[in-house]
Amino acid sequence: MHFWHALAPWEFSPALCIVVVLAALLYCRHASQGSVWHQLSFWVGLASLYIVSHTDFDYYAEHEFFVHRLQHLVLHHLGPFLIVLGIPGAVWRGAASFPASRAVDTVRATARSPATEPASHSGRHVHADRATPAIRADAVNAAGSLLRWLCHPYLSAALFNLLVLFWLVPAVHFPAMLDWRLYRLMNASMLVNGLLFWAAVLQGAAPGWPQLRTGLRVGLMLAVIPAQIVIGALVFFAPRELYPVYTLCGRAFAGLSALEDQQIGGLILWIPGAMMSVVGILYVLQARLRTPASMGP
Amino acid sequence: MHDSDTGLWVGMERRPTPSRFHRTRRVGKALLGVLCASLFGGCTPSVAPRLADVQGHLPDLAFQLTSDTGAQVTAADYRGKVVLLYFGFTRCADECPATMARLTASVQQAGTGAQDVRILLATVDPAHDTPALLHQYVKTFVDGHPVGLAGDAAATLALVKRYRAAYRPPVQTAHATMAGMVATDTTAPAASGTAPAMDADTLPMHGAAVYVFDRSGHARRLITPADPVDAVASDLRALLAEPA
Repeated sequence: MHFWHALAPWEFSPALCIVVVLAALLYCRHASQGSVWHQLSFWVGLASLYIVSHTDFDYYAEHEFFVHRLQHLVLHHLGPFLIVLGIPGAVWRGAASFPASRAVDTVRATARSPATEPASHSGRHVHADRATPAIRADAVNAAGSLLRWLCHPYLSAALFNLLVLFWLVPAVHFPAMLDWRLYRLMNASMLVNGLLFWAAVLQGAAPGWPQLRTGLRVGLMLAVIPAQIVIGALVFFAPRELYPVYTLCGRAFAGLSALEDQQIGGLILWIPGAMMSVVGILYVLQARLRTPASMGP
Repeated sequence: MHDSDTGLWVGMERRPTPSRFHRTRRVGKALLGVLCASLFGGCTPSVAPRLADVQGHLPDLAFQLTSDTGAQVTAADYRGKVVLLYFGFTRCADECPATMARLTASVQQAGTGAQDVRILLATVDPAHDTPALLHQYVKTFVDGHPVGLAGDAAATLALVKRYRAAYRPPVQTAHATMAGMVATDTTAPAASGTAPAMDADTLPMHGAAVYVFDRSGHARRLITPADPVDAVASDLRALLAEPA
């Protein structure tokens, strides 16, 4: 009874349930041809995301700073890392066959085709027919372009640092922990950015962009280390309480003082965050060394 | 040397006279500035908030509990009043009485509107704090304003969760629960003759925040233990001045 109770959500989120179920279904249908290590990596990654955001763990993350940092470590680093590793390289390289890409191409094709049909109706109807598909095609192209730019690997890496900084600014952290909408936005932004970043650096796969070279991937992983070290150190060495919301709304662990909690959280941000980049670099380098030179990046 | 033709000193250049277009733009900008100042000047309160401002971040006041007079009350019963809600319990030796004392002092200092302020103490120990016990507890403070609220474990948990407050229910020695959720049968130990131990482990744990709601039930401020009495009184006066 306690086990099932432990899996029950602290705050129910239908969006999260849908995302997790969809991810599981998509994986089983399209990406589960990898080895047992691939499968294990994916399921452990997905389960860890669910556990830190949709069980009692979330209560502790809301009321203890270092647990909140642990939650973000999983959402931003560990979970996406394992999920990306769980999808075999062949699937990443064949990403053009993904249902989403096919759907976008279909929409683009239908949006463009009526405009090239010969005019067979009266003048006004023809004008209206030709205008609407053109506008639709432009809108779809613009949206697709925007989405593509949002997935740019440099932007993902920049956002990786900026998001860590942004949500830890005390004036932002206070409403983020109080307002459930901002709280979910914070966690969702970490997850989405984490997935985009680690997909780009571990597999070289940024949606809409060509495969990234190994050197660039290593460079991006190195680029996200300094910010985490600096912010983690600033939080660790802060002489006073930066995030009073935890004391205000009550801490989950009565034995830890505010500064102790903050220091542990700073350490979690400083050390494991930077370590993940090192692990990622090692993975990418060993994969490169194992690949014959003729197969390219 | 003064140049008699241009009227300027030699070596200086006359600034070009602004064309009509530029003059119109400047006048337009000035008017826009006046308009903005009047619009936003009218919106900003004359006194800046001194407490933590949480407007728009926390849900409106809503609950269904039993008051210390035994009546079933909901948040609708307090519409039109400025409400100070906080979580505590009668067995709390230091924090809760101090909070209540500070709040009653602030309300008294708030002046003429003070009769429209209600202090709600929602107990996080509903098994022990019956309405009668709560009534006795709040009566020791200023009469008329503090109201004790009780409720079952589920209603208490719902209220605590609604306002993002930490909460660990009292642990009964024989029936330890997982933090936060399952309500134990707290009457069982009493029936068997063993009174629950009164050390720190078994008392409920809760946050120290006081939530301030305006006359319409919207969450407006958060009072911390560090806020001085006059800051609380000043913000109460501002909220009391607002219409319902």
